[in-house]
Amino acid sequence: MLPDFPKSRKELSEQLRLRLLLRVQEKSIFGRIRRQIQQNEGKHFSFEQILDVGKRIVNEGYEEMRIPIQFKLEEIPKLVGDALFEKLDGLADDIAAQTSQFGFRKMEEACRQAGTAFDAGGQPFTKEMFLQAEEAREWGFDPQTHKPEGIYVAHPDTAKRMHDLWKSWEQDRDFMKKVEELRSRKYEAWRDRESCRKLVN
Amino acid sequence: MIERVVENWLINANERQYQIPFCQVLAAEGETVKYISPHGVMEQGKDVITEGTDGSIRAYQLKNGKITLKKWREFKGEIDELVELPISHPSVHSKKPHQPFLVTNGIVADTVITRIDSANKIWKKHNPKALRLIQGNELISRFVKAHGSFMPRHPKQFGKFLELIAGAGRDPFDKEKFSSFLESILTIEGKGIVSGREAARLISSAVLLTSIIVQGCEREDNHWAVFEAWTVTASYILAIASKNAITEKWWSVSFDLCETAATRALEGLCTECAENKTHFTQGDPFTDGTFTPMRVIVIAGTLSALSLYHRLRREQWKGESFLQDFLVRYLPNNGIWGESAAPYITMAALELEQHGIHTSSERLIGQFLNMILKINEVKGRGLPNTYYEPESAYRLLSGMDRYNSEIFYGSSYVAESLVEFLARRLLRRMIAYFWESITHIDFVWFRPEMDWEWFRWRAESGSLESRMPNMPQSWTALLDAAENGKPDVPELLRARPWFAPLFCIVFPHRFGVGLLRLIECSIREIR
Repeated sequence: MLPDFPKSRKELSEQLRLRLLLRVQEKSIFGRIRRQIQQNEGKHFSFEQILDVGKRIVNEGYEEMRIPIQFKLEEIPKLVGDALFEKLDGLADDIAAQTSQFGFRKMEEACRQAGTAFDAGGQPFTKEMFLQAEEAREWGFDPQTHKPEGIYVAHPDTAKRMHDLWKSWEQDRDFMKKVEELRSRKYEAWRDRESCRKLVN
Repeated sequence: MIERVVENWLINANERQYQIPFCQVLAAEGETVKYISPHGVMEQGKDVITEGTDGSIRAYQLKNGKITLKKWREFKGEIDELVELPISHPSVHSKKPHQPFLVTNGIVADTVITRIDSANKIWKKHNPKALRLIQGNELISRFVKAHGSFMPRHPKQFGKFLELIAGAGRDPFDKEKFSSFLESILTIEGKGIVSGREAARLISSAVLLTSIIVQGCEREDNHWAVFEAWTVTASYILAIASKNAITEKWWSVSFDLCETAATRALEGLCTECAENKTHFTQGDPFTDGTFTPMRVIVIAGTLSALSLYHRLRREQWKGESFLQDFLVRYLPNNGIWGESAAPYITMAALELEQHGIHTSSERLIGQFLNMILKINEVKGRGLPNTYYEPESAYRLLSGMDRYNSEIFYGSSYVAESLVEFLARRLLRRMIAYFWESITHIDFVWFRPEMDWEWFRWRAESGSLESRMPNMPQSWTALLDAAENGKPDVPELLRARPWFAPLFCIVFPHRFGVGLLRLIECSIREIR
């Protein structure tokens, strides 16, 4: 064996792992959701999914994620400082991309199961579609400010288009009235749901 | 090398330390262990009583070191009792005279041997069977013969063994490393089936190895670590028995020995606490203030588990009144480190109830649940879950575990069992007050796929189950589940509910609705 320094390498490895994790969280929308459960035993998990009517129990195993990474022997001695971080960040970006793809796939499946999915079928997004999609969604509100809570996730190009569209839609009083009516209905529905957080009989 | 390790351990052990493995040797040689003096204090001169394969009854008194004439004179009275007083024990029915043995891990001086020869002639009037000697060399060879072939031979295994020996001292016991070592000794991994006879040999070695490993902790009077080590070994005996469907005759003696060693360690802790010379502080005063409140919970939980163990076995326990006083005086100043405090807190609450102190008991659980909800329902790191034991939770929360980014908010491993605890006490208003917060977290529980994996430190197969509390929740349904729900725990635990309090303290990640139902249900049955 060549002379080595395992103790320090282990600590450095942990530092790098943390950097990687934080970068993944920063780059992936799903990584950024801070809600997580780390499983310490077993290989399966189950959770409840709320459907249109009632709940279902989803039993699943983990899905493997593979990120190819290559080191050239002559490259290794130079993998320090910025060069090392660059390599690590590239790896993190790949993980983030896969995490996002996986997350979107799972979200689509879950939305279909729950009946909240809406497919525009490749057509340009219209006010009617917006109202229809929002109608299907369950809204949450901040208990203090009573403002709607929610995150829109979109490709940057789509997000810009949506933003521009919204500016023009805001000028349409009829549409905004419908949005307000929808918000009121959703608020009432949310209050009804919230009022169920109690012990009865 | 192995023989040297055994020899070195045995020479340095006191009689209390080698009593359990000595019993294991006797059992491995075919004797049936009938009695072990439970507190290490010999009764009528007899530390161990066994029945030989021929039905003869044998009584052993254990000593350590060289027996000189001076020493002999000091304990001659005890030897008189050992030889002359007939055995009076419910499990011994033979009216025939017993065979007395004096055992030492050292040597016996020639002058003492001459005295014994003379004394045997006098003792003959009361017991025709002469006192026999078992000295260090014979003892070592019997230990090696009984265990030698199953000692760790593989270099990696042996390395782990030495690491465990070197690491055992004042620190909390390294259960993870020890479990991994036991799994390799007991060949518990893989699909192969082990016969009863083979399992008995493996178990017998595990018991001896545990004795060797915990010697460093015993030297430091680290009772907590000794208790944890023996409880882990006892759990792994249940694991191998359950996995291979082995009948009790092959493992129950070893299991009982481990249980005795574990509870004896807690007796030691209780004795030390009862002396209370330091107000439960220890070591460097600059740093101890941070840890004293955690120590209080560990003491309260482990001693309460010991008391419940005796209650469930319908045995009297002399430490009861000290414990009651301790719980009342010190428990309010506890320092909860995370969800793995749940078994400690719950055992303490159950013990308080046994003394009629219901209000404090319920308040304790209510406050703990409130703390979990307050911390875990809002975004933040949350309270470390049951997989974080006191020290690792402290390191995490204090920032010492710098590279750990795990977060816990939004779920709880123990909230559901605490809710059931309160429901069984008909505390409807308290639960109603909590319910809104409860609905903001998920009840989480890991279910090992197979029963035997319950007793492993980490199960290989199983499922992490996450459940949303009902919105709304019917009180009737909650009460019905809490009072009539079946304890979903392995059969081997249901058959020995007294072990459950000890088990849940040492394996906090197994603490949940099922274990608590079993313990509470068993307590109700003895009333």
